[in-house]
Amino acid sequence: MLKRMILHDVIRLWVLLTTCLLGGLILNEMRPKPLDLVYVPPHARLGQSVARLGASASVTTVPDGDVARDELERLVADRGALILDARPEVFYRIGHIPTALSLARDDFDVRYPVLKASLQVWGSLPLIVYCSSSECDDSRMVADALHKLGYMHVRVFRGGWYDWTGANLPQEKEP
Amino acid sequence: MNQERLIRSGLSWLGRIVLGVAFIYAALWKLKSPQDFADNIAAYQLLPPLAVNVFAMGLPVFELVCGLLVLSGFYVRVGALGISSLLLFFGGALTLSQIRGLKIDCGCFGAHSWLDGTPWMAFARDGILLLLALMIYRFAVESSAQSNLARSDR
Repeated sequence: MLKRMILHDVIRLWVLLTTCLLGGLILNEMRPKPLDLVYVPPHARLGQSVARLGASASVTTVPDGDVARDELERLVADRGALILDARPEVFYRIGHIPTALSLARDDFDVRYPVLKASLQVWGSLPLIVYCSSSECDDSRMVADALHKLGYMHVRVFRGGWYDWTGANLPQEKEP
Repeated sequence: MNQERLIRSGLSWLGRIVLGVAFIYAALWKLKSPQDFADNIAAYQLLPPLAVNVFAMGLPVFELVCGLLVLSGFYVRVGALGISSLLLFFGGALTLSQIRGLKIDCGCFGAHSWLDGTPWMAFARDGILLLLALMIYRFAVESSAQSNLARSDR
């Protein structure tokens, strides 16, 4: 009896798993920005977005170097740089470095046209991009994308959000 | 005997709340940003590109349903078995990633989650949750078997 009960559970589990996978596919189609059926790696997705936004293939110089936390702290206080948050927007809303704007790596093709005017107005200032920590590549990818789009003074804050909050520095939240 | 049943029932309730809440929370974060979850899955380098996104779309739904089943008490056995299978799958993937020296985000509670911690923390958490899920499954099976016996005696 026990074996039969466990067998029934396993069959029900398979039915449930199949239904959920199908449900996930249907749910995905209902999203404003559905996932493609075949996975595309982040750098390739960003490359596609940058190409669509008209990047110049002739840009060959490398972006400026990294920025350390104490230097970023000064730049934030003096408003000496335009800070860009490359993390998904949901994390930006929960908390971000003061004055930072959201330029999430995965929403680059949507967010960049919105920010383009600000980026050009503040064009003389360096752009500083950050993501969660030194473990993530989003900031580097976004910095490279901006560089390809013609922004010459792009730097990366490698320590990212965890380094900033770990030092108990001020943060802003979105309402 | 009654005291033992009471303790089992209490433990089962507590375990169901912990597991249910953990899996519903994890599923909601993954459903919120499926692309990040797909990136997490891809980083493990275990699935082909065609399977990565299908899993990223479907697995959070499965996690959510299993969490709801365990929490609500409706088809607890299936929910607990589902959660056990998921934890074994995640544990296996984590083990392989460590053996291969991959430096990746666990992605257990969605991308960039403060709950993810180090791989060892993820192992420990998976182990504890797996024990809880197996305990709930065992209690539920025993309880169903007793109910069936009582019914057949009548």
